[in-house]
Amino acid sequence: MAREQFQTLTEPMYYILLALTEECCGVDIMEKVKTISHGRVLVGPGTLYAMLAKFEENGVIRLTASEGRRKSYVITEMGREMLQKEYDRLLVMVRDGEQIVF
Amino acid sequence: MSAKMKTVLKRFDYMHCDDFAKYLSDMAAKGWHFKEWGAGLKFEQGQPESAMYAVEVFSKASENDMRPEPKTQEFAEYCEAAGWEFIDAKQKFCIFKKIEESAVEMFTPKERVVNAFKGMTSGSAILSLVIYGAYALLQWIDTINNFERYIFSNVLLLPFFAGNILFLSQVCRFIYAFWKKNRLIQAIKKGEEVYLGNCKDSKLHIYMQDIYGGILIVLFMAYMMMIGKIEFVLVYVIAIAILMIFSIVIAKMRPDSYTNFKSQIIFGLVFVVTLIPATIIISDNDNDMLQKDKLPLQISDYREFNEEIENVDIYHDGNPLGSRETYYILSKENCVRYYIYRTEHAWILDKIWETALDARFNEGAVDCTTDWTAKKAVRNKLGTYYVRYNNSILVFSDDEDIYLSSEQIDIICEKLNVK
Repeated sequence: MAREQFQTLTEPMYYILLALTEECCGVDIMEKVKTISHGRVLVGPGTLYAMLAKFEENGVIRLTASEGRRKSYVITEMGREMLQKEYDRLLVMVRDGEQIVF
Repeated sequence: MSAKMKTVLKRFDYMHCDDFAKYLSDMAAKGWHFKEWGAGLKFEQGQPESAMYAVEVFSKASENDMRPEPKTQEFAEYCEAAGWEFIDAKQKFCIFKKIEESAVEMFTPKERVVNAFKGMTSGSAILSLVIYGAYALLQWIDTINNFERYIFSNVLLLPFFAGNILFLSQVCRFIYAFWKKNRLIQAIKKGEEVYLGNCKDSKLHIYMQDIYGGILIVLFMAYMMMIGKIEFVLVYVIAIAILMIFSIVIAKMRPDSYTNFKSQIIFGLVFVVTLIPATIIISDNDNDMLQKDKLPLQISDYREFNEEIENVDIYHDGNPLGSRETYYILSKENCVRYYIYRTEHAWILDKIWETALDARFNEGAVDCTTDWTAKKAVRNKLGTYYVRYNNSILVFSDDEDIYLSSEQIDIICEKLNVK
């Protein structure tokens, strides 16, 4: 099941889903992730390609347009829930850290 | 004037894609730039260049892909957007050239290792393993069940050896893939750099495939010389030539995946259906009435015989393990058969003796060891004699169903030189 497989998102997964909160062409996602993360996160094209296929297969994103080989995607409701859940998890981690160390 | 081209026959495994990339970079430094796949790797001559190539394993491609299929082309577009120029693809290999300094690595190190491993252990590889295994098993069963025919026949042993070599080499590939993957994953965990190949510091491995191929060819030629029968050698050499021509035609034409798959199935069926009868038809059958003078023992040598001989068949097989001679003499109303197995190896004679005296066929056999002055001799209910000496076994059958006298036995032993 998608929810079990993506219970914890890796950093590239998180940023790809962030990038797809708006409809975006697949090949442009790499640049968008770089921009959102201020150059910190670089997703390789092979990693991205495989991840988009996995996300689409599990209903986390959906295909919105296909012009030849150029495909556009957007996040689904289920994908948004997963993203929100990950965001909340990261926030909890940050707050816990603030209480103890930072 | 069009640029000079050359084709290089070189193969790399999926676990050695960095060796492959290094090879392409080294060629580019010498002025030979990889253009595309054809019968081999096609290079175009140009200016020497310090180019960085990347060879990636695209696991969604198929072993039947002779050219970039739609999924590979789609993947290539992502890579081109990231600063990698797509050169060509074949099967699961994709070749890129770095065109932007800031180009991001296409896969993470772990993904590269997993992709290479998946390439080595794909469905096609597993299918090959199963097919080779089944073939090797059938060869074992056939050889064990027909031991006395196979053990001295280089022709019959060739498919036995070939089947086992094919199966074992495929098993070794799988073992290597598992070992290499685990080793590389451990290296990643330690933070070490991952290199998919063996020749980062030594170029020897690039030529190892050529050396293996050369050794196989030499072994094959030596085996053909051992067979020594030109008609069989021709059949095998022609068969291999046909396979190679088919491979080259497919490599040059680069059909789509489905057409390639269909072609291989059809070719395979036609090839097997043609080769098997060709091998059976070409047999060491000195079936020629003029050969009757080559019989070491004539019927008239040991008993009265006034019939006209209609047919003589003589078969000889021999290899370093020993020899098997088979003689059939056919007249209008009679048939005499005798086989002689000769070898220095007692275990072979033991095995042949065990098969010859299979209880299902020789119930009620009578011992006649003393008559033959042999290690062991029996006569079964059909009148066939099985006689075991130190270095030979004689199987003798005369349709006249006679009980051989000691004089007749002496003549037979002397003529056939079995004692």
